[in-house]
Amino acid sequence: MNPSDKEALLHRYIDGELDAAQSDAFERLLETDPDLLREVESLRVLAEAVREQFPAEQEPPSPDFFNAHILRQIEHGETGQARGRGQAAGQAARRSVFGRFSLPFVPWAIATASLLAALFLGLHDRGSVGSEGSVALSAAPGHSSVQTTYTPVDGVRADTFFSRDAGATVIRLVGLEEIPSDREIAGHAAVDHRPAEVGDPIELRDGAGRLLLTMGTGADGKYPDFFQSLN
Amino acid sequence: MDSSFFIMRLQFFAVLRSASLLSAVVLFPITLCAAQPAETDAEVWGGLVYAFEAGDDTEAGSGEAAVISLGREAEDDLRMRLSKVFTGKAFHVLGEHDQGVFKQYESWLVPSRELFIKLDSKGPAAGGGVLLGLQLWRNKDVIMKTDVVLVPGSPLFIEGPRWRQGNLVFVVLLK
Repeated sequence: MNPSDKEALLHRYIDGELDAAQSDAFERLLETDPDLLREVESLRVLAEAVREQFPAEQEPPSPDFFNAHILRQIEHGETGQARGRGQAAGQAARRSVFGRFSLPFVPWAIATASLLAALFLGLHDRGSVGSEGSVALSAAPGHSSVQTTYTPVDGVRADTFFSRDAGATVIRLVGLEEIPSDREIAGHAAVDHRPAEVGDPIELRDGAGRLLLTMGTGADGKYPDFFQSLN
Repeated sequence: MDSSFFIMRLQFFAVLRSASLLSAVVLFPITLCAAQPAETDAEVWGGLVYAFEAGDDTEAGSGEAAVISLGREAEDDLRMRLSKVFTGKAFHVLGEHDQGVFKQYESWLVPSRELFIKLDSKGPAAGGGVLLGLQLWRNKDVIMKTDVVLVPGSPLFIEGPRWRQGNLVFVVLLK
């Protein structure tokens, strides 16, 4: 049996995809191949660790968050491909060295180790770092916390931290365009509005019920398309 | 025969009329309730604050102060917390919005037209908190999306764009 057949069987065995006859045959093979047996044991341990860390169901934090990550991965992939073409000769030379070992399992082991390392960092590094599409940025027991941030504007990032002195969570948006000094920013004191049906204007009123502002929707039915001050 | 048939018809229409009336009485409140948003998950206060260098007399009168609906004690507490993060600054509340967050409805915190927030409740969180999907808007553009767990007594400060000699800070807190 060649290494790639073994690798395919190994993954299917770990994932429980072999039928009874195939499984028996593979187990007989394990009895005669201690290296393969070691691979099976290590993969079982890793798979179990991954299963313990990840819940069976997890709500995605935000579609945009994943989109940002996918885009970044594509960009990195393109960079990697360009770099890879330049390094093709070197890789060919190294392949002959790695080929002496049980190479088919190396990518799987590296991928799993990377996953566990990323998981470890994700669980333990909840400090003050924030950026486009960050996860679990600031958390202190009993306080408000930021789970994810995403900044769609190019050049803008969100730095997040928890201020123990203030007992407050802070998101610092860096790189935003400055508001012109001559622009007046008119505020108001609005109180609870009942949500409108989709497409209905939202009316903001003050404590005495006076209408302060109307917020309308565009052709797509999404807010805000216009504001109208009525006093 | 004719009279009994006539009486049966009268009885039939009487029953029909009663059923219609009953349906209207029963269904109307149900319909009315269905048209109303679900119950609130949380009561959130959003304030737009101008943070500028303390002692800058030219900035002290900037903007239009809003009525602070939080009450004196809560306002003092908020200013104290702001000063811990934005040291050496003075704070001017430009606008505020007190808003219930409704399940399955989008809610908005609009203390001004310049900077405002869309809120989507994702349900209660530990410690009396609430998990919110939050979008910060500047005019017609979203400048940040975030998922936050808001807990009572622990505000969220979002340091926004520079304006004049300071910055705009959006404060969100769970009441």
